[in-house]
Amino acid sequence: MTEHAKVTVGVAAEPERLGLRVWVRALFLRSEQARGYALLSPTLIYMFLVLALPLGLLVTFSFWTQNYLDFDRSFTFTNYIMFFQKPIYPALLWKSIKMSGAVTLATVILAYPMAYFLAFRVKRAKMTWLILITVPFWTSYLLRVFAWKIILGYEGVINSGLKSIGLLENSLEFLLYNPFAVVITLAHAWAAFAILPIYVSLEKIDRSLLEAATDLGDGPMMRFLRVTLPLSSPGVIAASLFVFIPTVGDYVTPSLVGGTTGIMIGNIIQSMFGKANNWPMGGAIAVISMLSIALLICAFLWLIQRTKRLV
Amino acid sequence: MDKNDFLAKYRAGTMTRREFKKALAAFGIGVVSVPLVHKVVRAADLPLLLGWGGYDEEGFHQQFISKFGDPPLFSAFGDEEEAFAKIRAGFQPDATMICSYKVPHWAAAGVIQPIDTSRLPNFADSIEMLTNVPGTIIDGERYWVCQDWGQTSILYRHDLVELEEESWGLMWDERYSGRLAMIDSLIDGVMVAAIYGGAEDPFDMTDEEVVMTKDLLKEQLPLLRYYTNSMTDIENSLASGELVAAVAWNEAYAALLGEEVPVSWMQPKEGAMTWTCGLVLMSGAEDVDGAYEIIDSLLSPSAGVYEMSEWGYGHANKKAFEMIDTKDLLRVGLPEDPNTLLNSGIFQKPIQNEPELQTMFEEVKAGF
Amino acid sequence: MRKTGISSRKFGPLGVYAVVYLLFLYVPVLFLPLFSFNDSIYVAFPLKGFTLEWYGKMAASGGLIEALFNSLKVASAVAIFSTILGTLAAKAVTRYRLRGRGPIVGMIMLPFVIPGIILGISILVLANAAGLPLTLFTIAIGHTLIAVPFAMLVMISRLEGFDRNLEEAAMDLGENAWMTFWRVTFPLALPGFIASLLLTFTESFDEFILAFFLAGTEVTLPVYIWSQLRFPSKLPNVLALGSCILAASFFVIAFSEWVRRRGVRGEAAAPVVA
Repeated sequence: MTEHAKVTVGVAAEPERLGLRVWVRALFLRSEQARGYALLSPTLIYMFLVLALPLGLLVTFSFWTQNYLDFDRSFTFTNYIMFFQKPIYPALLWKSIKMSGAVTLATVILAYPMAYFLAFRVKRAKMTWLILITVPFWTSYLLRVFAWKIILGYEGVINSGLKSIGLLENSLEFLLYNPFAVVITLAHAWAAFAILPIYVSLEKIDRSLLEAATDLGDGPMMRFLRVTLPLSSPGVIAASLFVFIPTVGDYVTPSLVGGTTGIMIGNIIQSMFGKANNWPMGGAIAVISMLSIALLICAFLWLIQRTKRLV
Repeated sequence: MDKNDFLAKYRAGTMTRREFKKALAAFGIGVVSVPLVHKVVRAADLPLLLGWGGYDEEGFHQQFISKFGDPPLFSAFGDEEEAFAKIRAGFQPDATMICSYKVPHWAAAGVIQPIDTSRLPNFADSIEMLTNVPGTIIDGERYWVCQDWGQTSILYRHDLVELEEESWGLMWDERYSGRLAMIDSLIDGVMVAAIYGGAEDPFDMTDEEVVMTKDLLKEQLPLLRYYTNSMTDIENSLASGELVAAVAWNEAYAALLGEEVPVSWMQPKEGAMTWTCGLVLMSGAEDVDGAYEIIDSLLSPSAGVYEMSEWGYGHANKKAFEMIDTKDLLRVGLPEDPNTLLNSGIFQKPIQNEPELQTMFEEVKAGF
Repeated sequence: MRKTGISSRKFGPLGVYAVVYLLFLYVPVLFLPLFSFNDSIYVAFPLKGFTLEWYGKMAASGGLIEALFNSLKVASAVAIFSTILGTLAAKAVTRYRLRGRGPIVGMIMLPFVIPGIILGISILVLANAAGLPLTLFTIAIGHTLIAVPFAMLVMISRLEGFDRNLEEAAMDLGENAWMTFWRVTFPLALPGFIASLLLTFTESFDEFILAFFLAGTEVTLPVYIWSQLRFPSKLPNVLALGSCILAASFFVIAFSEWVRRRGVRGEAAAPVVA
């Protein structure tokens, strides 16, 4: 880093000898910041153009109120106060976070060995394996939900199966239309999004590090904990975020397999913008959910940093 | 590098990295430049209809097609509230399909304009009862014309349910706990509780009646398998035995009978509900003439015969009832004389204090 | 090179796990073909009888096929654009020590956190303000927005800890930045690219709510299916289509695998894609 800085300073000190164009070019090529931002700019500009309005609208809305069809544009905290006054909103948000947490944990833990297998055991045809893992997700999501209903339903595969071998007298009702079904369906739906990033980060681990650990007398378990797991942590983090963030706000799965007890905060937001036609309240709920998610993620990342330092 | 050459080299493994990248880049450019906007030309000269998925079937638009050669442009939605949000965000169709009870809301929001029925020759053949559905004529101006109608009632497996009397009370019967389902909407869900509870006017309830309705819904919640908006869910669950009874629309009855599932359609003593859906003309429609053509075509007898025989919904056109084969009517569970069914039920009307009721309903569903 | 036991046993307990896991992924999906041949409009046991009726109806349903191709177009474009944007961003934040890195990454992750319906409504407002007609293009704009975070995070997890010396060595050897990218960065990042393309494609191919708000008269497959859910009799056609997608994917996999194997046997050359 300092090397680059020095060069930049050196070049800047003698601009006239190099000529202005060369100087600008040199500055551009040598300055970390300028090059970094140049590389970032297409993405940033795109995101800013498309995202500024949604975000601005959302936040502005959340401080308005709605009177049947008209927005009352006077600034107010009413919606935010309402959020904490009515037990339903915080309770639903907390429930959604717990359910998504369960989904994330299940998905990432189940996906890790699979990704490990892909990265270290599969020698040829990795591409084939990767696509093989993604293909189930190219059939429409709504169809897969129907498939889960066939499996978990009252007269479904599991119930009929257990009944036909005499293990069960009456069908189990708790398999479908509750939070449990939501968690299973989501854990299945997001599997590829957990496997792929973990695989990608495992794949780049330098094999010589593993050998070094073995030479130092580490058993397979220690080697995994001291080398493989920490080095794959960017993938695990990405996988956790991929699964956690979208599932907290999901409303389709809860409404399809959640029954009367599997409702999540996303359903409320959805209905505020649709049926209940109260965009400001929907905006406030969304803002609070987003902030909670952001806080949780920061805490999660901080925790990982700490654990890493301890190990 | 042509394709076979590419394959040969790929197979032989002799392809250089540069060649591979070139091929990859060519593929990328090819995919990206696939025209994403190839219908703009057509969009300019035909009117746009926004409606529930499925109403783009050509059987509905025969009259339009015979005039213009093509069916109207069509954009689909799943439920009216989503459509309303999309329109408020700036989407501009020429004509839209909505049910009658939504009309005052849409008119108040200024998204629809009055319809001049003299420009709809087929409107003259409408069943009289359907020309003055509550809430659709505002300040003497007609904002909506009826296209189709049907009943909302209880559909139940008569082999699995012991019925004492025909009543909405079946949806509160604890013997069938966990085997019942409701429609997830104010009009077909909350109103059921209001009617069962005996509200004087379910569509304009007093505060006490709202409390009574909420209590009934809370009492019902633990007995329900789920709330849904999809007849696909309800029909599949009734067919498999997951459910024994559910609130449904009458076409579900016909469909299940067609698959030989032992179901019956209830006429509750408190009254089944009659729904009416139809068409509105959008404010700011770019092609008003085209919108009238779409609407008139949907009201035509040929569209009516198609809708009744293929979908099992009642149609608003009297002539369609004269033209259709009686066998087809009975097959889908419609009466020969539409008035017998239309006179028997409770007509759905615009719901007063809709926002409060919706909030109450959301709370109940979330367990509060 | 001494074996560390990592690659000596190919199918240990881990291999068994992998197969069981694949089963978990595939079992629900394999019910789709089963019911697509079932002679009933209902997806329920017991099975009624064998029929090909739904495949005929699927082939005859112009809307369904059109929606499928719309989805393929949008998802391919989204996969490519978002992977490019995501890679640039990932490269920038992993390669350079940027001031404000945290907020920048946070901002790129934002579309991920904002509920889809809000994004849908506001991008629609934006498209109207810009005078853009609603086409597949507007859907692609929306999907790219939510796909970039996926692409970026995948690429970050690939590029983090990436050995800069390699690139610098290439530069020192006289390669320009572009050649350095092609010769050094690209091959090393390839698994990340593939993962990113697959994920962003999948995300766009299956996304519903943005696609609903941003669709004009051309809809994508999930929107089409959603609107058809009103009609139970249409479900089997959709099952048939799902089965065809599965079959086509398998065919492509099997074919490329066959091509690759012949290549390997022929000249024992290294596969192009590692």
